[in-house]
Amino acid sequence: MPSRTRAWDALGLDRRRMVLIVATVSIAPAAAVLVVTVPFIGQAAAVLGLVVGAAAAYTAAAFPKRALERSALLQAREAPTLAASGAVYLQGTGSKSKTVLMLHSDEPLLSSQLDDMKRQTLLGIDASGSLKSSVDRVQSESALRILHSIVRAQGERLQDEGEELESAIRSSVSGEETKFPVFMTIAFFLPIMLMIFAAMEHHADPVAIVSLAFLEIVVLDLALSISSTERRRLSA
Amino acid sequence: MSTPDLSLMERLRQVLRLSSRGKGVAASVVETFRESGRRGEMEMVRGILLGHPVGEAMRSLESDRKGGDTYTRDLMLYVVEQAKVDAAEASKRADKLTTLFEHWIWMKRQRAMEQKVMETRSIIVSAILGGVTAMVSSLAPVLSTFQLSLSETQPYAPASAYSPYWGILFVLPAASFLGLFFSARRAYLNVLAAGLAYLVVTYFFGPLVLTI
Repeated sequence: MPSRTRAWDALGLDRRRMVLIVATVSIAPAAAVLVVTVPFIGQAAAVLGLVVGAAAAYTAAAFPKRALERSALLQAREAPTLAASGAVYLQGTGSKSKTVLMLHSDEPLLSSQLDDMKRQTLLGIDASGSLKSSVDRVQSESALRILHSIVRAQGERLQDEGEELESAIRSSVSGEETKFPVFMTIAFFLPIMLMIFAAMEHHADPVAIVSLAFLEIVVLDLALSISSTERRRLSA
Repeated sequence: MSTPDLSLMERLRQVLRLSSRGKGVAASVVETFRESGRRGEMEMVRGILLGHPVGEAMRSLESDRKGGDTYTRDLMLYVVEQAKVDAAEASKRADKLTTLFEHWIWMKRQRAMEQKVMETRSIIVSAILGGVTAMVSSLAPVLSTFQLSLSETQPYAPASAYSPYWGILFVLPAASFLGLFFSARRAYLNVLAAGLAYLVVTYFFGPLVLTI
């Protein structure tokens, strides 16, 4: 949880408001599951509602962290171009301030960081000072290292071989390999289990079957959002 | 992605090599792309020859390659911006950059192939899911006779109340989520495979199971 709240701070999200959002997001599906399934599964519906609520809370609370991880990946992908551009500009202009003014990025957080640096440079603040003031938006270590090298005018150190991106991709792939079988198991066995449950509990009426199908959709949706984090990141 | 991207990357490298020898960026772009048969590239050359700035002319190439890879776009921007500042240095750096990007494109291509295999597997899993659930659904009247239950009072349901087709309501969401996990555009294939398998098993084997 602390790493998630750190992500909230990094994105400038108000903690109280986020707690409220997370609570609302978790209560809504939990209540829906409870209301829909209690006539058919009795007290077990409360436990199921709690599990669904917890999973929904986790998904909502981790959303900013996932956004930051995605930003870090995109920034790491831009790092080699940023390094090459920085080196060319430093070599061509011989000025770190001019280099800062010429840099650009497509990644929103890095772009806003560069815009800030440009604004401060134009106001006459030294480039290194402008970087120090708002460094938390640079999520990629490589991009940060490159910006530090630029503001220190270390053109010879401006190089990025994409190591960070490769390690991030490798870690995402292993995460995906871990979560994929879990999701596959849930998606395969949940309908079978629910069908057996409906048969053994004598739920043959359409309302009961539709309610259980609703429960299945809620569980599958949560499982999908938790399991496909790495996939979404890799396809970014 | 893939071969057109790699070939474009190679040609952008050529642009930088030419511009590092003292030729202007616009002239290098025209010389490299003038014999190209691709529409976007022809448009770009035409734009430069008509006097448009290189950056503007290259936009036609970018819009022509909307499905292309990000790395190619990055390299294009790099060529436009950096070659104007210091072509020799830009060319030296671009060699490393293209090698890196080519490596990433190959990695992406390999991943795309793995994804296709996984998609096929998920369709097979969906079909099996449809078949298995259809069998369970057909066995529902038998299973309902077992004395296992979560609740103390069970509603009475005669064997005839069980429709073997109810189970499809559980199969279709699961199959569509399986499809969404792998490819949102082809999720319908999973639904089709699962639904078809369910209907076939229920229609042909459902009565057999009940007879046994």
